[in-house]
Amino acid sequence: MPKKQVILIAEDDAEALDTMQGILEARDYKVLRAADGLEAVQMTKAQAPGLIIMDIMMPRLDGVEACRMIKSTPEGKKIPILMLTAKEQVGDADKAFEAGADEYVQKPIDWNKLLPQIKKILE
Amino acid sequence: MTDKKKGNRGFILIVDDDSGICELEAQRLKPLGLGIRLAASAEEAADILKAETPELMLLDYSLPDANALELLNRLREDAIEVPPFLIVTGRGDETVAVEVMKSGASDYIIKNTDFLENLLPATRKALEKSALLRELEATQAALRDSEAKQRALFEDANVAIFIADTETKKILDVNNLAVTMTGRTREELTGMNMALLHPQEQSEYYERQFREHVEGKHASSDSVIVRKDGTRIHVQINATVLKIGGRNVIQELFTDITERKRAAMALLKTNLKLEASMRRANELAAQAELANNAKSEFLANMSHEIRTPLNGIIGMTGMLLDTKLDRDQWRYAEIVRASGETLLSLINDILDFSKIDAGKLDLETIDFELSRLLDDFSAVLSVQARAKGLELSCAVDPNVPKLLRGDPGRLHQILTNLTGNAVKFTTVGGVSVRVSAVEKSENEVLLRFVVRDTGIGIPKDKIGMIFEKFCQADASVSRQYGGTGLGLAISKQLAELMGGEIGVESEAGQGSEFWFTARLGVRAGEAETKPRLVKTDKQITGLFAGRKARILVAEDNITNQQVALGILKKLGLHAEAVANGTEVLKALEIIPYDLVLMDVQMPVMDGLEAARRIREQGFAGADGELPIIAMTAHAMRGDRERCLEAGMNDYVSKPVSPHALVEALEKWLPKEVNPERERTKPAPVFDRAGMTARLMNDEALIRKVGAGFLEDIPRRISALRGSVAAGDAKAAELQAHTIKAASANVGGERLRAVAFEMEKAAKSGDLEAVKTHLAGLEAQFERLKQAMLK
Repeated sequence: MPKKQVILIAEDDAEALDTMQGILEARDYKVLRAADGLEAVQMTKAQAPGLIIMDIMMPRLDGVEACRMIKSTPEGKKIPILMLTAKEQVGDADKAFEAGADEYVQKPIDWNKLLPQIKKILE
Repeated sequence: MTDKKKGNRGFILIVDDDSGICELEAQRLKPLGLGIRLAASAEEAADILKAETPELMLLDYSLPDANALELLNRLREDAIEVPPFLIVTGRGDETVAVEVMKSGASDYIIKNTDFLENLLPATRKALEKSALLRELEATQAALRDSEAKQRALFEDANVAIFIADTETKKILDVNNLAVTMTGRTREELTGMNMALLHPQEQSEYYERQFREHVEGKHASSDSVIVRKDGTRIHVQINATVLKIGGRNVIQELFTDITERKRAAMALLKTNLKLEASMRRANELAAQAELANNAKSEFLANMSHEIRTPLNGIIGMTGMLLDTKLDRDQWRYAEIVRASGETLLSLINDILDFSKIDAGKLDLETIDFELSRLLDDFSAVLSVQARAKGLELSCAVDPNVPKLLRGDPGRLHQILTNLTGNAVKFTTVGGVSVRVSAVEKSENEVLLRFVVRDTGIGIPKDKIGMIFEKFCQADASVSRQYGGTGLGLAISKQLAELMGGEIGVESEAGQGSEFWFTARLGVRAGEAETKPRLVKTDKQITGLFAGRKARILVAEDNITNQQVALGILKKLGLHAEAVANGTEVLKALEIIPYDLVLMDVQMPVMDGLEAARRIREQGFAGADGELPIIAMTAHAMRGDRERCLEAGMNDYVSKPVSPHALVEALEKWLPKEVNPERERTKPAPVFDRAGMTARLMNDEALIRKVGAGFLEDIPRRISALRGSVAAGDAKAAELQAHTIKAASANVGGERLRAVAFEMEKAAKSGDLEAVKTHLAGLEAQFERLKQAMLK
């Protein structure tokens, strides 16, 4: 039996995180939870997930900063980061890419699109 | 004892009628080193004792003239001090022995065979005992002395002292002042319950106080006592708990602070009076302020009320002039328009003047280009000048900075005023305007504007007063040339507000030279080189004809509606009109308008509220947000901010001029309008289909997300409310953002729109704006909830 693939989700809205975790676990991914950017950075260091899905706006340390910090380490560079942006904030995608994010997905998440995207990244 | 070793006058008195025995005894007692005196009878002994007191007396019981007891009685009767004594008795007189011991003898010695042997030790012992007794007595005396002193201190203390049992509160002892203070006798006080000293209504308070004193929680407190005659005294109580004779007693020291209290009360009363008068003064000031505000408000309203119909007159006359008229009709209409414009400028002058007078006029600080300002100004004035056959020239020194900061509108106003006057009072020749820099630093420049004419000039005796209000040099002048006479007074005030001065040099018949200075900020950077073209009336006709944009005009005044619609028609735009905010919202539900021109003051629902609702409901325009342009007749500063805060994009002031409207429309009217665009359906309350699709038609998941959302959002809204109340913009931004994201997730589009507005407002630090959306946020949540539960 192949080892479960690990996805770290950084999202300050616990409700949203629950939903995401539920959907991903139903598809046999192992989910790590981080409530803000700082937790995400610390957990990445300790657990080295296969993919990080990160909300761009979070307390303490936002997604852009967290992404920049993770991508500044050799280990972190290898981990793909998928940034969740709000559809109204036009410049967010640029900010995400500047910080080193590999992909961005607009909120609200369309899972029909996101799930294949995740699958592709983790292959 | 120490006294005797020093060989002092201490002696032993031997009283015995047997001289032989006396001798033997004296012999035996020699080692004591004391003197020996002898007395052979009671009388002889009494004589000696009357004069001197021996250390010890050896007293034979049986004396020739009396027995020992009789002698002792006699000595006591005669108040002669009885020294310590030993009784010497004959053998077997045991009953006597008991009797003498009772009479105070130190010991007794029996004259038996061992008598002489026993004498010395017995005497020694007696001496020691008496010495001890003496010491004890001295100590007791000292003690008594000290106690008396203590008592005196106690009694004469300048505080009233009460000693009471901690359990029963019964008074055990009091001092003199306690008696005086309470007006009760010592007897009355002793045994009385301490609580009864205090007013009955304060008994609960006192009980607590007493307990706290006993428990040592407080050592001091203030209280009131009632004297026996019913008068009351304020006291300060200092309490100490002592242990006397194995029981706990409390010592309470009462200090009379009635005077102190009275002084404090008097001070308090004075302070209260002072406060009351301060309050009164503040109230009066507030009333004055209110009255002043009311005056300003009145002026603003009045200007609005006058300008609204005037707007109609000027606007409609303009339209009339564009129709086919014969020469006379055209002339009459032209006069109507000119009069209307004169009236409008008069009203503006009066309003300006009263605002400056009330200190209500704040200058703007915005970036502007001097050349552009001068272009605008000369474009208008040159028309007037040319009409009179005059030449208007405008020159700027090369040292004048191009990019400035200040209030271009007010600068324009002074220039127009001075130049307008110059044109007005000149019939032959020309008017020249010249700008130069007087002082210049990196950030600031003092500009000097000079307006020279070749007109009638001003007589010397009138020059001093022309900057006064309501003044023209000659009353006949106003008849000939018109004007309120406020223009120069306003110009003077404005120049002074800008940190400058104003003045004039003139000679009657030689023309005048008006000048003013203004201090302005200097900006670094390059001026825009592209010249801006002011379009002529002809050029604006049909300007937007190609665009099939639909415009909604919201204006309650029919005439003004017609003016706005007429101008828009001239510009080649199709527009429809409604009369209030409610109708705006209704119209938007049906027709996909591309722009709204909104009057601010309307009945039923005003323009500000309508704009807020449009934003809350997320009506879209051709590209993005539906543009809203305010039409405001308010001359008061702050209106513009209020419009923008309500979510409007721009504003034009009324009466609406075609040029101002063209500028606003060029900026906000969508370049391309898709005529096929369906109605600008406001965002749906609940986009069930969208949510279902995003969540992969997973019914269980959809239900779970929906339920979680409905449970979570009220908490988030109240958290947001809390952040707004606490003034925490950062937290509010994050909370609004979360609500926005969560709403988007379930397809709550309208709630998302409101939350987004709030997020933006919070981000810019405008918590007031966030606050105005709170009710809308809750209302939209309720609507969404209804829709989701359907």
